[in-house]
Amino acid sequence: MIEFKDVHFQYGSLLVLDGVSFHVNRGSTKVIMGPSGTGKSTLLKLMLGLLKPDAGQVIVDGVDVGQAKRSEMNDVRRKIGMVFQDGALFDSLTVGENVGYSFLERGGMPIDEVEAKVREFLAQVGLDPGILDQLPDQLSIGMQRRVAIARALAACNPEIMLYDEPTTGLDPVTLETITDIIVELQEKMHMTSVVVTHQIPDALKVGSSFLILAGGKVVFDGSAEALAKCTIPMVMSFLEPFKKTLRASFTSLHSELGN
Amino acid sequence: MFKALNGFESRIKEQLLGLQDLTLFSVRILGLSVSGPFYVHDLYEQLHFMGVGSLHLVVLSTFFAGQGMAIQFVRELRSMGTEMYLGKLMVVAIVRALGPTLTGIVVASRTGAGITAEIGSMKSANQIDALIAFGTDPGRKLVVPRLLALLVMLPCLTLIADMVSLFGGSLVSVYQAHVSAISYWSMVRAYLTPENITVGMVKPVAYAFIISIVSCWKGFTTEGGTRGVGRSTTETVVICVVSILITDFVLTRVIFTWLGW
Repeated sequence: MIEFKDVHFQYGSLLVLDGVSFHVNRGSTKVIMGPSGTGKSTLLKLMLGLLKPDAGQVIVDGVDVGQAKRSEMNDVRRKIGMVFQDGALFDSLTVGENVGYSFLERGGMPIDEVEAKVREFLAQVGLDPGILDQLPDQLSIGMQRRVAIARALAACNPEIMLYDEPTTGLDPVTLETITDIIVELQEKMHMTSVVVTHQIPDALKVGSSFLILAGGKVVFDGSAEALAKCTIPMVMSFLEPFKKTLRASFTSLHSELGN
Repeated sequence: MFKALNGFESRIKEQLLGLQDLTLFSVRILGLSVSGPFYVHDLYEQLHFMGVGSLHLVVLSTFFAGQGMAIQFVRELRSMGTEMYLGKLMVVAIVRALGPTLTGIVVASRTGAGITAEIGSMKSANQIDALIAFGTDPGRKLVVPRLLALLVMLPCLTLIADMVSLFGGSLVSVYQAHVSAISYWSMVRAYLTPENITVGMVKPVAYAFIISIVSCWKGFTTEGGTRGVGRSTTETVVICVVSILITDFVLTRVIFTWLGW
């Protein structure tokens, strides 16, 4: 569904991606991890066509995003829902207008129908539709993230969901809620998902395969099982603080499979 | 020495690339401005923000600027015993030059800075990327309504500024020069010719274009978070004010040549 072939990208003179290749199968969830500044968010922006690769190919649902015309790119974007870092909600619009943005933008839908849709999407992410008229600034960070997920879902009934650090800066309870929403959406809607995160426990909960970036290169790409056994020094040092969680999660996965 | 020259060369190169980028941006926005679809609701919002929002500042600054200028004129005219010509001088100074330029500078400082800060903050918060992800063209949604609104509102504000300044001048005329309001206003009316009005009304159209394009472009090219927003906002005001003063000179030369003055 998504494929990167030897992608190179740099911001000015700073090399961010240096020959990155990987693929994400339809219906699976790829978790991208790695230290800050290694180009994780850049990967998502490349998938969405917000950036063009300097070399290599980014193919999303058969379309080479780097070469696509504006109309082709709009077709690709219609299949993608993106939850940006920190939500990126439009702060001059209310929650209702944010979630219903794509309906209002396309036009042709009566306003009460848009409102009903917005209520439906807010309920889907566990939010009270009573917040419809509030501004994003009036919500907690956790609620803003949920509104951002609802907005991405409302945008296009997406086949692909991209999450850019959806749980960063959240308290443990809200973090758990957001992770549960991501898992639930995947199970219900069988979407292809890419999740960029620093939170290893969440990564293990939502991911079916894992990719670790360092120095602009892919240093690991594989399953949770392969990750637990990985002996690459960079990967080991990155995972060291979470080794216990990783082992426990792997053991529980094994016992679930055994049962 | 060579290091300093290299630094100078790269700075010049950077400035030229910036100018090229700004030119391409302007051409693209002009293209979008003449073809739909238009964000009418956003246009209304901007008309209100730029027009009603700037009105008090324009009125306040031009009222006092008009009086200040009139006081200077009265002193010089009195020495020649020609105070009755205050109205004529005020039309020449205000309608042709000070009205549009002062209004342009006031609007650039308020509206231009506001536009850059808003778009720059949106960029820092990934909201511009979010718009693109939803299939919205940020140029069409954010720049075109601001350009059109300023093209409508700046000439209107200039007209109001001219009237307020002339009114300020009339107060000076009556209370300091002891020239009656009737003779002041009849002098103003006599010199409020189509030529003078043309000179004064062409300028705000050019200033509106400069302010909206520069401020939006600086917003879109903002880098470096909140500090970057602050830097871009300052640069917007500086570029707009300097450009307005240069444009004032160029347009005055061109229009005077065209009118055969």
